[in-house]
Amino acid sequence: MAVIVEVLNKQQKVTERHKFAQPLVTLGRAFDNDVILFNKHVCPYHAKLTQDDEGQWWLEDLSSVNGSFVAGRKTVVAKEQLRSGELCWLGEQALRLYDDAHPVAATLPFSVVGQKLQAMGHWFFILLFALVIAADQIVEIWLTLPKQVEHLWPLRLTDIPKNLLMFCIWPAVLALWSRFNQQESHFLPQLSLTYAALASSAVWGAFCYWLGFNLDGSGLAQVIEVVGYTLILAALFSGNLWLATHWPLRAQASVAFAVALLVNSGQWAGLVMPPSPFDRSLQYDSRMLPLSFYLGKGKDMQQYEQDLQQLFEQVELQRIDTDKE
Amino acid sequence: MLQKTWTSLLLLVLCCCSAPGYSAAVAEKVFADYADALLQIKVLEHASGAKSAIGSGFLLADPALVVTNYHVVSEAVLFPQKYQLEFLAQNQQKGKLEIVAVDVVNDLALLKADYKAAKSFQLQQQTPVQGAAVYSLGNPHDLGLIVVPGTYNGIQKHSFYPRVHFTGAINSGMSGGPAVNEVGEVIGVNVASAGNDLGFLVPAAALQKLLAKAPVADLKQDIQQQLIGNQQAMFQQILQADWQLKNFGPARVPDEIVPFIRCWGTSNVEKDKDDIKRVNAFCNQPEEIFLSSEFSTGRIEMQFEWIQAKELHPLQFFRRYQQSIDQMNADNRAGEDDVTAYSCQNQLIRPAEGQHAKAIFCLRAYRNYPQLFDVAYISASLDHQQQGVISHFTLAGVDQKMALEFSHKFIGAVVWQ
Repeated sequence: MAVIVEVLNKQQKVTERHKFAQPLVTLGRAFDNDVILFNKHVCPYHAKLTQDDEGQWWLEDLSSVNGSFVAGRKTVVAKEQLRSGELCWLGEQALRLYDDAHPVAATLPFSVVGQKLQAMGHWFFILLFALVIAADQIVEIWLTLPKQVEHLWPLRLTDIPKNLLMFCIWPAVLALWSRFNQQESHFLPQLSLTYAALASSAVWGAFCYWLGFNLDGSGLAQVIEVVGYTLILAALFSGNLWLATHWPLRAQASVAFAVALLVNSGQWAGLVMPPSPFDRSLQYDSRMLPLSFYLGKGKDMQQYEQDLQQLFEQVELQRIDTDKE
Repeated sequence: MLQKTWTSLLLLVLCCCSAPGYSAAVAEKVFADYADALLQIKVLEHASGAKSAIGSGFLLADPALVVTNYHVVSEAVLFPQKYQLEFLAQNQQKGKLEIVAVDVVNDLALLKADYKAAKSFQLQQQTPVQGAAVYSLGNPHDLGLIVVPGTYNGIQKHSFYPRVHFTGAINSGMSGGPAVNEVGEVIGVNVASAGNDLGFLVPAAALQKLLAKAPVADLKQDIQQQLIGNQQAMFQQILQADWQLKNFGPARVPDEIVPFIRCWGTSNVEKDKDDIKRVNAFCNQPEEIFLSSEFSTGRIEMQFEWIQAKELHPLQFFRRYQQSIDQMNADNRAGEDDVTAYSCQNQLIRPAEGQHAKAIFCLRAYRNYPQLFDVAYISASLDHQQQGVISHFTLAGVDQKMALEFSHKFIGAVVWQ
């Protein structure tokens, strides 16, 4: 019966895997060992693995300088038995032993979401999302740059590649994190996902501008806007975690949602917290578009004055309520 | 020859000395006669015993009450459990003061003191003539009692509140002191200074009215009634007036609708570089009613802006247009304990004769004076692609009826030609 020896790093990730059919496997730094180890605290001839007549494997220490240990950090005095799947250490170098009958986990099928996320890493998608972001920024410059400072156009345009580059930092951090965890980096899918979230935010912002104007800046429009931004962020972070970790789905979703809420907490606070009398500037929605963008008809003066009467009653009630406190 | 020169020089010097209508001798006599009846008023904090405000006051002969400005004693009126009042006479006699009645609109307060002076002040019954000599008495900057000579220059024009225009230097700390004629009769009470020898007095008639009303049982309720009464009088004039409109770009907007509302205007038309042409008109009734050091009310403001941008795309124009309406502020000072937070109503309106407009109407209530509100309104016309008119007003300390009637008239008055 063959034996499999895994060499693990300090994070207990497998770095090497060896399979031997013989009943004796030597371990150490010397080049004539069966498993050659790099760790400088390991002796040239540190230990050996032997199989007895019953097929059991034993770890035998060869009077090493730093000792050998088995599960529970138990020091190997002469030799100790190792079961399939158990860890042992030569000095600080971790190893794991399997016999070839050891069961393996079920095959993980490809997931649709996972494949789509991977596919997003195609340069076509990255380019598409980057174009949407750039278009949004160009429109913003066109809308706001006064004629007197028209010469600033080239300068403002150079901000666009700068911004696009800046948003590469996030996927790069995620890729590094994946590498650190001995997983695939998925840099391009992460980048594509980040740009997709930015592009959706830009489109969502434009839609909410129109919606806010049409709903006369009502609280409903504000809630829809903030919920939308939170969902976009939650989707981004879920995707990021899916690509970067092997956490259970539920954990990924809840962490993503919590971080999205945290990032948007300022906007949520603005919605939930009542305005303060200390604010000298008044809180209202000033968004305006040409009249053709307004789907409704607008209120006639009689209806408007009734609304204002209601506002007076509402403010008077607020006054009475706060007085009670 | 030499003698002649000397004589003319002497004559010149004499002329110079006697030229003003007031003389040092009269001022000295007034001061000497009434020094006893002039008091320094101090607002003391109970807990620390420290001075929190200081002003001047004077003792009337009949009834024997002390007069000062409301703004000097406002803390003691609003927070009697925290502050107390004390007077200090010229002869260093000290004593407590009790509030009898106040008039916040005319900034007057009547106080009761256990104090008698050899000679106390009387009110002058008839109005003085223009140019008459007036002596203002008080205690500027806590430096000791002084007398400032000046002239009576009639009632201030363009003001809703009757104020005597006094040409003489009234300084802070003289507030609440009397301004008297040569024989020591009170013409008015020192109230404000606009710098450069421009001072204002509350006329004696207002004091007479307050004396007739004293004493008042519930001061705070009385203050509320004064505010409502004053605003009703003011808004009755405004609402009944036939509003003068002026041409303003493509529209007509209200101008100086009543004498106490004054208007100004500016524009950037001469600056060719701007891609947006802006014309502004601004009208206000700037005089405030002092309620406390953190809270004032009574102002009215109207503002109009015509914005035009022939070379901009409508979407570009509307973005700039939006920036012009997104920073509306409260016009009067108010603390958290004085008012609720502003609530705003946002609506696209369609007046019968006017243009479609985005209208924002914001409102906050006075915590301690039920039925009174501050109102801020701004609207922007929407029917044109490259030009628009913004109209804005703020009202401080109005009730619902006045605010709605004013809004109705204001919205109706802004029309496109």
